Amino acid sequence: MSRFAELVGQADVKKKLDFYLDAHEKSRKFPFLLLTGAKGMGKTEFAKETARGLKAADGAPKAFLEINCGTIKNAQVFFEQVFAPVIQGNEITVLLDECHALPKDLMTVLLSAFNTEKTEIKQVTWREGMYEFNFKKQTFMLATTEPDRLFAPLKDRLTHIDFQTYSVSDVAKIIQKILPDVSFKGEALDRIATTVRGNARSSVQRAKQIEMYCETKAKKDFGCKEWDDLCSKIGINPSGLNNTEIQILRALKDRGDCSLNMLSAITGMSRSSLQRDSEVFLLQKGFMKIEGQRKLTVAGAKVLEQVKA
Amino acid sequence: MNNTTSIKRGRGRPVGSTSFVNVSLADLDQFIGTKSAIPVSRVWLQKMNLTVQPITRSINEASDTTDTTPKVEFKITKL
Repeated sequence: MSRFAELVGQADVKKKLDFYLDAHEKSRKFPFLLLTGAKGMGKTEFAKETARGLKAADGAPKAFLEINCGTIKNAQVFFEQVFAPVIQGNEITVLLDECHALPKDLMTVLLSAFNTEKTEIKQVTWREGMYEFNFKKQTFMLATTEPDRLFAPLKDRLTHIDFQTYSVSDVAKIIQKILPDVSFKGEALDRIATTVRGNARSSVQRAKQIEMYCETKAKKDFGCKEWDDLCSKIGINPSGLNNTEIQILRALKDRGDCSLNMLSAITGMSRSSLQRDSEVFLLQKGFMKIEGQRKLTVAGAKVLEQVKA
Repeated sequence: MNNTTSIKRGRGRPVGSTSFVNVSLADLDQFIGTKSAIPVSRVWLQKMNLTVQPITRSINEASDTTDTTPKVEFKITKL
């Protein structure tokens, strides 16, 4: 477990990655990983930390190459701009980030290349060029927030590692880790932790806001009073609710049960956006339920009372 | 309203100025070979009774030199 000591939470992910890294130390084999999870769950950080454990022949960690797949327009540019100059022949760990955005032709190439049952060296001919994947030297990891959009046969070749939402205590640890000099008083840290929606990246952002507040006020102690002050200054709502979500809860309270169309009309947001961006969180937190119509729950009414008008 | 009858000043080549200078062949020879083509004045060539080829104007279509190949965004970190 010491490999991932620097990273907070995701115990299940750590266990799996540790297992594969142990196997790599003995056999030099490493599966093609598919890291899945919502934004801000730490996929890239874990990939980088895993890469630290993937050693080259000389014992040093391999270089880590992070590619934004949304910028790869086709297989040709991938081979010309990235594979030939950076990957081919080198000992390197490659993270294909947002891999659901890979162009179809490259997904097909990878599908063929990742078939390593017989050999770990695969030669791919693409247009005029011949390229060599050497999986003894190169490790490929893929990450996405939308695994359903990945080419199904390619997805089947990958070993899935799914990330989970961070618990309140994990979030508190992240914030305290970033701000070791700040002394949190009373329930302040727990209250802060409930506002980042279990998201590690948001936890880092929240820590930065607290740091700015403490620097501005020249304080090292941060209690509930300071937290309330910061919330009112920069508009942080209970449970990290955003304004659209509050609008939905208010509409349900004032008008009673509503259809999705009605909520769309009230908020001015599209139905799909409401479902994807707002309702999922409200349902997850138990602030709303769907029984034909959208209904406000007791927890929803309670959190709404905490929101200042 | 513009006064179109006024003489425009400050344009064109001032009287007495010239784009050409005299240089000896011996001096030029230090820099260029005997087969090098050097630009000379057409008026000077006519004075020397040499035939002047008519100028053929050719306009090259401006080629779009902007590289339209999409750039792949990537970052390498040495761990």
